[in-house]
Amino acid sequence: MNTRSAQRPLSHSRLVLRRTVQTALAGVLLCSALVTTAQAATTVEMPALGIDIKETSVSGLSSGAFMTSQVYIVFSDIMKGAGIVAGGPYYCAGSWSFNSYLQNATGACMNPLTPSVGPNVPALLAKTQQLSKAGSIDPTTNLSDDHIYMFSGTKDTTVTTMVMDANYQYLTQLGVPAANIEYIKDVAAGHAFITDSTSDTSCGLTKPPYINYCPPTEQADAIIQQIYADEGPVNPPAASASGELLQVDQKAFLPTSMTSMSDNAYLYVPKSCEQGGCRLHIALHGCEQGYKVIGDQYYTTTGYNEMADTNKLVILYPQAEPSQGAGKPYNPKGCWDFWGYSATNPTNPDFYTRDAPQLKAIRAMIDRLAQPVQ
Amino acid sequence: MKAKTSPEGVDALKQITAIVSDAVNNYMTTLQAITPVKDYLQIATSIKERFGDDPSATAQAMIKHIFDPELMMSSVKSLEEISSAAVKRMQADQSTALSTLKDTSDSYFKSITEAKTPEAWKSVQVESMVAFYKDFKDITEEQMNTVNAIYVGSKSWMESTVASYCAK
Repeated sequence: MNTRSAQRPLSHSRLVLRRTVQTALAGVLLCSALVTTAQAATTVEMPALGIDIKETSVSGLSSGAFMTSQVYIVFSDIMKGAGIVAGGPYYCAGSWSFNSYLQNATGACMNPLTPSVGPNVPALLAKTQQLSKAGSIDPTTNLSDDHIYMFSGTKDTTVTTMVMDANYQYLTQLGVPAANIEYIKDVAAGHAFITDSTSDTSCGLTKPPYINYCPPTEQADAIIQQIYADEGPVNPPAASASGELLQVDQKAFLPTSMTSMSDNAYLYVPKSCEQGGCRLHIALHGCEQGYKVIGDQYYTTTGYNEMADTNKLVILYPQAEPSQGAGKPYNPKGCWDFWGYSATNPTNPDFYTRDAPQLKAIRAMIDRLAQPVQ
Repeated sequence: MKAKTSPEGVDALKQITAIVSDAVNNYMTTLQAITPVKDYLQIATSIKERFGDDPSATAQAMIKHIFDPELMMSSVKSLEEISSAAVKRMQADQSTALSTLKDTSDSYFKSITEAKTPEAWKSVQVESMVAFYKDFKDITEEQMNTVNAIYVGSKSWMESTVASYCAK
C-alpha cells in the first residue's frame, strides 16, 4: 500500500499550521546548530599551562619542515628534538648567493639537479656558526643531546631525498650525534604526512591534503617516540583523543601585520595537562594545509592528539594562511616563511633569526604556554 | 533559439575553467614572484657577505688560479654531471608527457568504441576533454619546474666554481 495515498488530504488551515510548526522547528534547530558552531569556533586567549619549556619539541611537513629546522636551530636552548618530514636544512634558501632566496628555496632546496647544486651544507654550517656566535640564534652546542626524526618518501619529487640527505649531513656536522637521528628513506611515499588511517590518500601519491596512508608507518607516533625515547618508554597513542581542542588567539602574538599567519592557532590540551606539568610539541603544517585551506584535517587527523593524551604532551598547531595582493606578503600557497616573504627589509630579509616575524610569534606563544597555571 | 547545453557539458566546462584558471593563477604566481630589483638587492648583499666587499680581490684570486688543472677538472666534471642530470630530467619529463598523453588517448579510444548510445558517446567526449586539459597543465608545470632547476643549478655551479678558485 502506498503510504502517501493513504494519508488524508489536509485542509488549508491545518497545512498552514503544520508548515508554521515545521518552519519554527527548523528555526530552533538552525539556531541550536549555530550556537554549537559558535561554541566550537569560539576563540580563546592562549592559556598559561605551566609547560616545562626545556622539554619543547617541533615537527612539520614540507614548508612546515623547513620551519621546523628554523624553530629547532634558533631556539635550541629549549628544544629536545625535532621531526622533519620532507624538509631541508636551516637557512637552506641562503645556500647560493648568486641566486635569490626564492630561487634557492624552489630550486636548490626542493628538487635540485645534483647534490653539488643542492643545499650548500658548508656555507650553511658557516652561517649557522656565525649567527650563533653573534647571539642571533641560540648556541649550537645545545644540539649534542637532542633526538631527531627524519623522513623522505622514495616517491617524493617535491622535496627529494637529495635535500634530506643534505639536511642529515648538516645536522650531524653541527653536532647532533648520528646515533640520535632516525632517518627513514625507504618508504614508497609521496610528498605527505603519513598516518595509519585507511581513509587518507594512497601512500605513493602527492596530492591535497598531503596526508597519506602508508602502513605500518604512523608518523606522529614515530616522531614523539624518537624525540622523547631517552626519558623512558613512550606510550602508544590513545584509541581516540579525549582532551580539549582549543581555537586560540594567534593574532595577539604576531609582531607585524605582514606575517601571513592566521588570526587563530589550535591547541590540544589533554585532561592530564590542564593543571600544568606537561611538555610542549609544536606541529607545523605544510603549504596548503592550514585551517583556511583544509579545515581541521591537520590538527585533528594526523595522530598527534592521540599521542598527547598518553604522553603528557600539549600540542600547539600554529597556522599560516595564503596571502597576496597590495600591502600583503606574497604567500599564495599559505606556506611557512623559509625564504623571506614576511620580512620588510628587501636587501637582507630576516626569516631565520629570533627577530624573524614568524619565529618571534611562535616563541611568544611558547613563552605564554610556559607561564604558571593561574 | 538558444542551444541547450547538457549537464555533462556544463560540468565539464566548469572543470576545464577550473583547470585553466588554476594554470593561469600558477603562471601569474610565478610572474609576481619575480621581483628583479628586490632580488638584485638581496643577491648583491648575499654575494658581498660571502665573497667580501672587494670584487677585484675575488677577480684576482680567480685569475691567479685560472689555469689550475685540478680546479679546472673538478669544475668541468661538476658541470658535466649537472648537464647530464638536466638532460635526463628533460627526457624524463618528455617521456612522462608522451606516456600520459598516450594513456589518455588510449583510454579515450577504448571508451569511445565501447560507447553504445549517443549520450554515452557525448559523455566520453566531455570526460576526455577534461582529462586532456588536466594532463596538459600537469605536464607544463613539471617542465617549468625543470627549467627552474636548470637555471638555479647553473648559477649555483658558477658560484661554487668561483668559490673554489678563491679558496685556493
